[in-house]
Amino acid sequence: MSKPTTLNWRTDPGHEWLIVSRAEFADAGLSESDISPYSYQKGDLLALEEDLDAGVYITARFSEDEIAALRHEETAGDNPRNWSGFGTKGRAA
Amino acid sequence: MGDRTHCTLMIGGEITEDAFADLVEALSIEDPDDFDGPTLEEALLTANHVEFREVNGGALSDDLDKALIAAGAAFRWSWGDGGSYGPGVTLYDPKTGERGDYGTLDGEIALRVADTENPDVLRHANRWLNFEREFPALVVGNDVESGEAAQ
Repeated sequence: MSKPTTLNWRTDPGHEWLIVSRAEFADAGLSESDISPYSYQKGDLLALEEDLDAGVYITARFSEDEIAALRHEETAGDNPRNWSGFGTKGRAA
Repeated sequence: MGDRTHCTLMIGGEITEDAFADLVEALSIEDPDDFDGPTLEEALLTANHVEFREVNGGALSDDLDKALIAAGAAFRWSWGDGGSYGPGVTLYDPKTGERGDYGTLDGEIALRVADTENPDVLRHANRWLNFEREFPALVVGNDVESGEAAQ
């Protein structure tokens, strides 16, 4: 039986980010080098950009037959674009 | 006869008075079981949704589907677990003529994790998640612009 899980998203007019905690990110066995510089961080939260990084996290964290509900978090003036950068994948050393 | 389930129809968007009258007539034929108001018209204008207790296969009827699109209405048709099929939702955006069909989990759009590997699938699902979040209020009047999609 598939286990339900929830994916929380934040949106601005141009983009979407999957919001996860650092603990969830670590549980997925991922590090900053697996994520592109188009993702962001603030405190305990990471905002993983929709086009690539969110998928990296989801496929690392969950099995393929799980069902994920999509939920929208209100940005409430706290746009991830204003957070600090996160992710070094593809960045020149 | 298929398994029956509970369904909810939510209607929004800007539609003309004539289109609204036609839509109410089409909806009356489908005979919803529950609505919040003394009449179907008032229920739609104040609560913007109606309930159907037992619908075969959880399916929106073709006639009502056509009436909603002809009226230029935005709509959200959702159904519960039918036993042989899971809960889900159909969304229609009259501004673009697009339709989104998804399974749901606790009433929310849901995807198989395997499907999220495709960024286009995720982007499409998020587009409909935002449509639900910003579902337009129902506005009826002859000075509204038709919400019907350009074909």
